Amino acid sequence: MEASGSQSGTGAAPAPADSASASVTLAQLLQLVQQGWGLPGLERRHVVATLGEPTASRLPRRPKPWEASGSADDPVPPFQTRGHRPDDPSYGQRTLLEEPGSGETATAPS
Amino acid sequence: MSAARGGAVRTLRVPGRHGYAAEFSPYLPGRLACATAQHYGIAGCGTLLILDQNESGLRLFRSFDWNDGLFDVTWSENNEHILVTCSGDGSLQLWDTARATGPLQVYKEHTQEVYSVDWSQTRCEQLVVSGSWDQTIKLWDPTVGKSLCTFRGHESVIYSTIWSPHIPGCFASASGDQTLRIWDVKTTGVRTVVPAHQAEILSCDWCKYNENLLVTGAVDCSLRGWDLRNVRQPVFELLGHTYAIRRVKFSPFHASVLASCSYDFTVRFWNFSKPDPLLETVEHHTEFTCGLDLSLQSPTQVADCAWDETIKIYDPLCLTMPA
Repeated sequence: MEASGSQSGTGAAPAPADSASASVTLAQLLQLVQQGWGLPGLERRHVVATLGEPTASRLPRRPKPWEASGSADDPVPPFQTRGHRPDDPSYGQRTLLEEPGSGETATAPS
Repeated sequence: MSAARGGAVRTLRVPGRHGYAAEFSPYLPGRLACATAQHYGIAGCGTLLILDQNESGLRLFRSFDWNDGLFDVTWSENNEHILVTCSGDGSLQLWDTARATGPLQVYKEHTQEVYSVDWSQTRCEQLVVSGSWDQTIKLWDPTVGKSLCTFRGHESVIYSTIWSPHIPGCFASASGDQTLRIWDVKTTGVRTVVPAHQAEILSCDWCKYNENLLVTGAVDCSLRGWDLRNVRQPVFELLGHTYAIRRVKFSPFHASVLASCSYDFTVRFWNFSKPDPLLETVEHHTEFTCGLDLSLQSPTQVADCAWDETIKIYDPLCLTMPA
């Protein structure tokens, strides 16, 4: 359970993060971890289950869009699609790329 | 690339929280749940955010803290107040949005990070499936304190577990062992193993209009479609992302439309039945984009969240003006 006086009790907002923690980039954070430094603004919680009963439902289940008859605006397509065209110049040259672990050096695609 | 969008983007900034998953409520239009973690999920706590849309943007309705990073969230299909999250400490949490404090229940059986939770989509079943880095999948009835059973077979961490929207008791899983697996609850065994990529598979989803069709998204930057009646070759491949694909979802409204988000910061929309399948690339995040959902109420609305501490709801142009 939340410590008393926690903002969460009001449902108003997440705990205000240390401004330092918000400004740490992923690359900086990984560097701090690797060098064994403490992490800025690290929040430790001791939340436990309330063991309360769920609030009773008052709304009927809505049918999913695919459960409503005739709601699909495309028929189920056949599988002869070519998908990616190797000769498409906009992304025809893509091949296997880097592992996600190199993400700290990732740059937004141009 | 285009970043064109059909309307105003509604953004909520959540300082100190990095978004992992976003899910629209199946009951309330415009209500969104977002699972987040402090410090990119590497250390610290987590927060479940419940958001509502209004005229001026996105409003925080409620937030719930947990002791460890929250990596996924799923809404109940039989109670509009209830959700389940999963976290880095190996536990699942049951939350009630009508109460200011929570969780109501905690289910702790996984021995490592739990990366995925999903509430069953077929009628007459109210089950949750969870996938963990401990290489197991567990089946839960949220009214029961212990898991109903454990599914073993994956040989690496499990990133994604998703119920079939059509076949009762059937779900799919995606793993770092490079396979997509289809499971049957009734036999507690694996039905199909698809060596879908030669790379870790971070996400999978079912087509909503063809019970045999799934899509996988992988670290090799590709999306591949799989027809369960013949899994020797993918039925489509979609290329364009430049880093690992973190999450993929089929449209609830269009049989051949899907969306994917990636460590390349983009969200891409695709129609695999078209010769040029890439419909649109949305570039409005500045970090890994991990959470993505398509509204069940509005055919055009999309939500996403990223490690840039923002959650966004928008209407991409390609969905507002289908070709």
